[in-house]
Amino acid sequence: MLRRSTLLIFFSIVSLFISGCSIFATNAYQAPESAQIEVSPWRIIDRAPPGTPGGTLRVTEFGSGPKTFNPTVANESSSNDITGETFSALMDYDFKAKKVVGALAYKWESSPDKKVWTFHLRKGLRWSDGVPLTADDVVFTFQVIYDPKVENPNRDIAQVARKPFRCEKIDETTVRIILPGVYAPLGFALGSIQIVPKHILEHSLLNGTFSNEYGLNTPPEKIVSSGPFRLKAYVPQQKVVLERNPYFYAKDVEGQRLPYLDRIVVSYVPDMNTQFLKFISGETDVFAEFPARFYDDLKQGEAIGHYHLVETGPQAATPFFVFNENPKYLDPVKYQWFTNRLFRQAMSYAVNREAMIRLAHSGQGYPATQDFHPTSPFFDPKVKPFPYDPEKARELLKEAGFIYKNGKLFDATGHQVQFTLLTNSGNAERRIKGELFKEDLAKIGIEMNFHPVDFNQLVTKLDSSFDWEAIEIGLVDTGSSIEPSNAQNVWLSTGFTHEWYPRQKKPATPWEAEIDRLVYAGTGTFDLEKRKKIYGRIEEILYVEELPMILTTVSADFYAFRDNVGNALPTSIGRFWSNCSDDMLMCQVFMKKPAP
Amino acid sequence: MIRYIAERLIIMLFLLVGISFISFLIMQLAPGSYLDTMALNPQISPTYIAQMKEKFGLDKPWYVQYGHWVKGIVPHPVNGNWRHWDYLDFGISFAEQIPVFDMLKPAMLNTFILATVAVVVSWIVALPLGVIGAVKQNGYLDQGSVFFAYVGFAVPDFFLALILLFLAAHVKLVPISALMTAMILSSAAFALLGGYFSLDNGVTRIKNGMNFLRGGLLTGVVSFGIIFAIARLFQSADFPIGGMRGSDFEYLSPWNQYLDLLHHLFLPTVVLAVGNVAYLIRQMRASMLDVLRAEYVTTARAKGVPEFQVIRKHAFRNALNPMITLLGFEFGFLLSGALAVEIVMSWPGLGRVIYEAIIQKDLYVVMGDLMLSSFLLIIGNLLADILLAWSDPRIKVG
Repeated sequence: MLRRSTLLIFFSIVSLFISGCSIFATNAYQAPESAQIEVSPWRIIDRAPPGTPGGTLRVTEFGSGPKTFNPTVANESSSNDITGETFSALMDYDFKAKKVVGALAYKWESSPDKKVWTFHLRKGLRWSDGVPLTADDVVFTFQVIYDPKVENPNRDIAQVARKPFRCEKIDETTVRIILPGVYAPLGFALGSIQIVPKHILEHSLLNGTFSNEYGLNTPPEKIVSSGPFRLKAYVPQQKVVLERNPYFYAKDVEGQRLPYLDRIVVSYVPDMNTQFLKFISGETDVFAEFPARFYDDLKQGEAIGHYHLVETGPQAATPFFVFNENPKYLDPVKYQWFTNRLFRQAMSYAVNREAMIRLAHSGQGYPATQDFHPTSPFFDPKVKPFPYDPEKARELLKEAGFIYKNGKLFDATGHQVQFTLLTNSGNAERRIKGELFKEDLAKIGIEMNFHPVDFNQLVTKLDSSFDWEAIEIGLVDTGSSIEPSNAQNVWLSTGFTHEWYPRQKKPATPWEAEIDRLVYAGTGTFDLEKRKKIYGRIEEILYVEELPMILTTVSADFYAFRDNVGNALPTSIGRFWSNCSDDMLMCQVFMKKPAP
Repeated sequence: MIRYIAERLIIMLFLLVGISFISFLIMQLAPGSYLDTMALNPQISPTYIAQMKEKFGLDKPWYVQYGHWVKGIVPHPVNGNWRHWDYLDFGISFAEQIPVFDMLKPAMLNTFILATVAVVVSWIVALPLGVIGAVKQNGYLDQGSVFFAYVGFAVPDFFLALILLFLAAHVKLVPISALMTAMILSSAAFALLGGYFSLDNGVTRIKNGMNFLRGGLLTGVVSFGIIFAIARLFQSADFPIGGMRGSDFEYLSPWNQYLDLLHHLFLPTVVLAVGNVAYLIRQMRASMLDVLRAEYVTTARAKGVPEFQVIRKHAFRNALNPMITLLGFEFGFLLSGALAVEIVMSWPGLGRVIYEAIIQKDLYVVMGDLMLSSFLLIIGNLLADILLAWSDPRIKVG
């Protein structure tokens, strides 16, 4: 008799014990005293008015969190968000001045042929463990990214025509970088290559284990950083706690050391509804880049919820419909249609973007116009979205030799115009836009089938099997608004994300040849005005004349901030809390003290 | 007995090999691989992807990959030297670049905490209710728990989780007058329902009217009480919106950390327990009803054994046997039932890890998790069988 009840009691005790155990999983880490070391010159960040030090900022991020804390091998945004706060590069991009500015380096000069560059580091730079950060670390970082055993995405941006840069130490605070050719994206490249600590990681490069260093299983106190924050705690799938780095080399205009915040707590939430509820219940201070469907609810609650909404314009992304123009795997009849410029222009006139904004973005969206965000210095206001004009579309199609019979469209050889559009399932916005496109095309007599398929299947088609007719997909702006050459793999006819016909041996059309020439000209000059003209021309060919990609619409980019968050100045290009493109932002965010 | 256990363990080994082979094959037959998401990123070059492919061994045919994976699990030498040897190496996660086991361990612990607490709570709640439901068949408590069971079955757990989170987030923002109105209206609705179900055929109108009033009043008052209690609970408890630890967890004393954990545990436990309780009540009630009809119970009653002793000693003990078999299945529930709750309430458990791994095609994480789940399920069933043999002398194993 006793046995069963003891069993039950034993079971419950075990469960209580186990639940109690887990609390010892995170260990306490004592921060060293605030550093008294002078940096010369200090980096002055004046992007926003001065704030008050102290406080914790609580943010949520969609997903399951970072995949590594190693800035060199990180290759997706949730890891970059953390390494962006914990590591610094030589340079940085100033979103207010719209140009590259110094970060670890404070001045630089180049040889007259722009191939030899000398960078002067600030004096007194320290890693978060107090060890000096010197030219040796910079040279070591370049050694790392060119090491064949370290697979990393930085290598591609740190080379000119497949040849690496050479990086030499001149003295403790001076390095020289020798380029194999003139390379305009140098500033962006040096802003992306985050410097790693030689004194910690040197041995791992020698044993070939560098890629596994600073992984998720590294104890946080072992991760030495140089950014405004350092890692305090990581709990898998739950959160990252960042703590201010007392050795950070920046001050505000009043001479207060930055960053102001003591801590940032990032919670990882796998469900957007939960993210929303967490924000309105006051558990978090920021709801960044929330989907438009929450807009109405949040707007209503703004009056009583002690928060405010900020809109930063369209999201930095280019969503589009693309037609296959790869002759090898496509029905020759359809190849004739899709390679016809007038056909593609007609498609763009047929898209009702207003309806897409209304239905796919809850009325909060913009027509996409080009690769650059409106806040980018390269944005070309002359490149405008196509208006919705089905009549014009019909005219263009007739002009291209297509014929209408009983309201259906046929080509000159008598084939009815019909094709299949694919997209990835699970993306509600794309599904709605695809359905709308189908209706729009029905109005001009074209029969389109629309099939959402598994994402991996879609990628296989785009990337290796090439057996598709039309696809709806989007590319995220990964910095091309800051440095246009980041989009070159889309633009170049040899590019692998040149989706309509990737990896061409030689340009299939004269306009693709022209774009290739322009891309090389664009990276070969440092003159901003000249570059603007070059990239403006590329955008004109792509989105006004030839339309290989028919742009659709983007959602507006929204942020909700609790009223006690000071200096919350998000931009659409850099994500709100990530300094891979903007570390000035998080440095100056502060928590307002409640009025006494 | 020992022979029986040994036999079962050997069968398990074959079973695991079969499971691993089939699931590996299925994972490989599905189109695409982990590196596909990168292929669409203009910033990541094909050279980099090719390097990663080689590093992960994804460039080799599937049987080579399978062989390599199996080799890591069976005892094998490190660097070809048997002086250092290793075993149970389930490979590394493509996404996180750490050994699969390191990745599954914390998640497993979290799921285990949540599921164990939910199972313990639901058994503690369900068994007495089931017994009372059978003993006082068709009484108010029985009807109440049957109603609860239907609702508990019908409400999908992700939906319940969302509703609870919604309540937790909004209860502080909603003015008290609106809350009261909502409570009165909803209990009035319940009262009407209760009244309707109290109607009886073949009695006079006046008597039926009395029935309606009595049933309606009772359900109305009880449901108002329950709703009021829930509202008060949510108002005063200030439940966190998902997650397992508060944002200042690292800076709390161990005791407060423990309280913080319990605070976070409450809502997910409720969601997981509701469906389980509903199921267990029905099972316990049915099993108890069976036993109560048995002749030995009548004999015991006829002998003059006090009713409480009859229930406790004779009926309950025998009614428990089928429940022990169910306990074996609860291990499966432990591992799989929590997925929706883990996602909606952002509980960092095993379900989330495997869900994401499947979406991303993080091959070895999926394989590791499948092996672990199969192992635990098989062991759980074995334990339940042994437990049953031990508790019920009529059952023999081996």
